[in-house]
Amino acid sequence: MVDRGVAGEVVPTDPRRAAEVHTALRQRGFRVLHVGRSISVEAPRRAWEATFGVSFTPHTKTVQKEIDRQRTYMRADPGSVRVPIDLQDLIAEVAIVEPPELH
Amino acid sequence: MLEQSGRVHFEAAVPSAGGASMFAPDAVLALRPLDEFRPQPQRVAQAAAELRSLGFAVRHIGSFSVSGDAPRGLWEQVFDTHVEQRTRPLSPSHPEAGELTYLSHVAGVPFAVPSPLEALVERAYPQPPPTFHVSPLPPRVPYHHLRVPSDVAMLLRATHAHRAGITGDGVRVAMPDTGFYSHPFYDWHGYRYQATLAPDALHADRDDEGHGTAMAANILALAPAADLLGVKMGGNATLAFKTAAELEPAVISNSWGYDLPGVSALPNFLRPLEAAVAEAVSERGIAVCFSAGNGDMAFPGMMPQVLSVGGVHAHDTLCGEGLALEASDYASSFTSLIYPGRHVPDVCGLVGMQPKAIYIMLPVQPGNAIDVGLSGTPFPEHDETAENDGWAVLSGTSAACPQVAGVCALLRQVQPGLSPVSARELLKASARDVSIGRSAMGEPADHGHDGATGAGLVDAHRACLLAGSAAAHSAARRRPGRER
Repeated sequence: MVDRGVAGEVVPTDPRRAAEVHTALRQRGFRVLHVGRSISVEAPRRAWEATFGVSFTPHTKTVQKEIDRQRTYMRADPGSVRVPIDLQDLIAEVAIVEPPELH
Repeated sequence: MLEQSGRVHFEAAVPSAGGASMFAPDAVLALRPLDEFRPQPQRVAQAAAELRSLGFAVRHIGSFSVSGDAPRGLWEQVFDTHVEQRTRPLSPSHPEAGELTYLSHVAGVPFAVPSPLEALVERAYPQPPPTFHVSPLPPRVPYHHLRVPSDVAMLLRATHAHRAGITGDGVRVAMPDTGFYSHPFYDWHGYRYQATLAPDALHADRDDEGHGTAMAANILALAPAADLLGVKMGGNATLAFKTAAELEPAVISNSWGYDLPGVSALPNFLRPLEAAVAEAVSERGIAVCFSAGNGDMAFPGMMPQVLSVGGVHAHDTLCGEGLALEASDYASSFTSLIYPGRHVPDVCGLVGMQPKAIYIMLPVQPGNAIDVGLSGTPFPEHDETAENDGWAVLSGTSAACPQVAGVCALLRQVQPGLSPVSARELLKASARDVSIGRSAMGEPADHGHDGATGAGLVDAHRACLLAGSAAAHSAARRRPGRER
């Protein structure tokens, strides 16, 4: 899997305003990959930190236990995520994704 | 591009006890007694010790040679020679798998064994990496295991359906996973096996993890004429799932999830995935299958909308008219703390037993993480296949989920308008009861629906018969003039 920054899902307050959310995020250094019920984005850590106040710590988890395969990634402190005032009209929720376990 | 390393990997041949040289022009080792060329064991050990003292890393002391590696500079200095870097494809028949660089001896360049090694090393050669030749046929291993497609299809009673022409023809199945290597297994079986990328992924047909390539074979074992479209994940599994859903498949198979032990409220970072899964089921009418986990309390496998798949092991002993079936002690079963009343699994596919559920021989990209990680001996900690042969023996609910997804594809061929809820109910109504064993969580199997196995092991034949009779009943109800 390619590591190009931190991936996340942004939920608009109104799906009809997704285009506005798209623009706002791009202006803040986010790459928008998919627009749907949630908007899939990726961005460098500093963009997440600057825009949503996210604090990250490195975290390692086992993603495939049969071969003890580990993944290290930047895990967001969920309590640190906040939507800034100027985006609260557009964005309801922000989720920083984590790698899944393979069963 | 893969790099073998900046080191020279070598074999140092030790002179034989009797003086015969394996390098003599007439030394055809395959036709001569090997003892002619065998060195004294003590001399091989001395050669290894001397190489170590010079700074070489000794990896193996064999009967005829010492295996090792060394930094390029050390090799060139000790043997007063020169090597050069070369590049070649990992597999000539699959250039998309990448290239390998390595250090190679150069013909005609001087090479001298120095005096400390003269009596101990006859010759030493850098070893180029092998070319991977992946066979569509799996290797043989000496323990009970299942092969795809034959054993998996037979044990889940799909062969009856296949004979009746129910093969998943015209049904699209999507599968978000780690990648979908063009293994000859798929081509030789004539399967419709394609791959695409999630927007954040690269190289759909590269599968360095090995998981997707392997698990896809389970779908096609059950639904050999289905259109399988693999979606390679990048770093965002939610995005991969959404990408799969937008392909408008009839079925999505997901052999992954997030372990949420003791969690009673869904973490916020998983809510977009929850929404995407719910939308796929309720608004797109897609039968979404998720693996229940292997000792995990897996999400989204616990969502009420999905078909949650656990594990049953089929032994190689007979019991009644079939093989002995037992709840897999590797597969999860649990009651969700997040969705009240939601018990997992709904039904089961075939899964091996502890410690590693090494059970189903599956195709993988040669030399990838699974091929290497499970290789070697002994079983059941390892699968006893080579680390680069493009085959590995594994399972988990990762394998069970696509098996059930394949059965869903069969049902959608029989009844194209079948809803996800109806598909799940048909599978549960037709499943084979499993009454012995315990799940990974220790829940017991029992007669009837039970905690360990849900409704039991899927039965493709019975499920298709039920779907067919349900379709006929629906058609009869819609006949003109019939009073309602």
